[in-house]
Amino acid sequence: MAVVNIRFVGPWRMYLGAERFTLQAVTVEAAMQQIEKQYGSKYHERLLKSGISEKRKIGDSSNILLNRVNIRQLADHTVKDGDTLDIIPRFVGG
Amino acid sequence: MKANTIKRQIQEHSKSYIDPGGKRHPTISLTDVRLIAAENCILPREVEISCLKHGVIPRRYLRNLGTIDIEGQLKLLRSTAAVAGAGGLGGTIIELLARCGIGHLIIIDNGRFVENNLNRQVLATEEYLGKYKVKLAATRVKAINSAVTVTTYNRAITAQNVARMIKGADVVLDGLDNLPTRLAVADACTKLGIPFVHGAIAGFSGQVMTIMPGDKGLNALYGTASESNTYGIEAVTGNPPATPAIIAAWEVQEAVKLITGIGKNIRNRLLLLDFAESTFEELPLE
Repeated sequence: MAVVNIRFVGPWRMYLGAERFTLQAVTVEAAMQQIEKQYGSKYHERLLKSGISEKRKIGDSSNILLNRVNIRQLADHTVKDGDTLDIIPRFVGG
Repeated sequence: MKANTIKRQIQEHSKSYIDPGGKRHPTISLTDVRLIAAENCILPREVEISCLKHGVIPRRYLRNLGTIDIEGQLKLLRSTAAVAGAGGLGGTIIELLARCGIGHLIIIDNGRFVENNLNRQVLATEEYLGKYKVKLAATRVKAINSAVTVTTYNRAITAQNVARMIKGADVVLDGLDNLPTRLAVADACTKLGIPFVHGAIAGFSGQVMTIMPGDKGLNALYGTASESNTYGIEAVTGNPPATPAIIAAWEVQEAVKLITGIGKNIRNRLLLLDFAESTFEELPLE
């Protein structure tokens, strides 16, 4: 298990009530599962307040960078000690 | 012969203006620009370009001076900017580019104004509900700056049609409200070698990035358009009025810098602004 730095970026901090922390995981997906378990209910509450009852995960509304690289561009999602995951809220509005 | 006539007319109509710093500038009024254009059957933009070439500043651009010099103003007047979307971001982008004195604006949108646009879209008014956005945008541009040439496309942007609409533009600005269209425009810009200024908003937050051909593009941030299960958080945050105005203004600054060569653009990194927490962050994209 690697110790990974997690960084909530921008408004995630306000919505999820956290900014930087570490967790232990083997892959990005495992890290996101832990994040979802710990903070997912807060996001779901925000969604409900906005009239959205559909269950959405934090990861579904985020751009996730592993050491500054979008995980969608990476074939290997294994993490190692000291890696940083930036969880960036996904903005698409105009 | 005609050029000499225009030059003479410009000099005849030129009047001296002393700026707050005490510096004297030869200037020309909007009325005189229109008069010379009408007398010579040329566009006001061509008159303004001739004025600047002869060191005479159209008075409407006087307060650009100091930041944008005569050469920069000429570059703006000779440039084409395409704006994809004429809503929250796009409306302010269009307004500011017209005031800057961009020579040619291409405006693309297929929407009509609806009531929930009124909180943030500067082109939306109660009177114009139900009207096409591009039509009102063109009217607004002409009301602000009749020297600007406007081309409008009242159609939805697709991966198939976007290249035809933005071809020839010096820069494309993002006024869009969904990811697949953004990625289609960004992709067309890359293929055509056109810089793309990206902006997006949600609630009290927004982001800006300029993508030059060959730079890290939107895929470095968003992934690809084909991926599902992706949502913007504006479903939660809504889009209050000031955020699109700020991000749109920043996009215009990026475009003006690109065209005039002033300063540095936000490249290969995302500038993320959170106005609720008053934080600005730069995220380098690898």
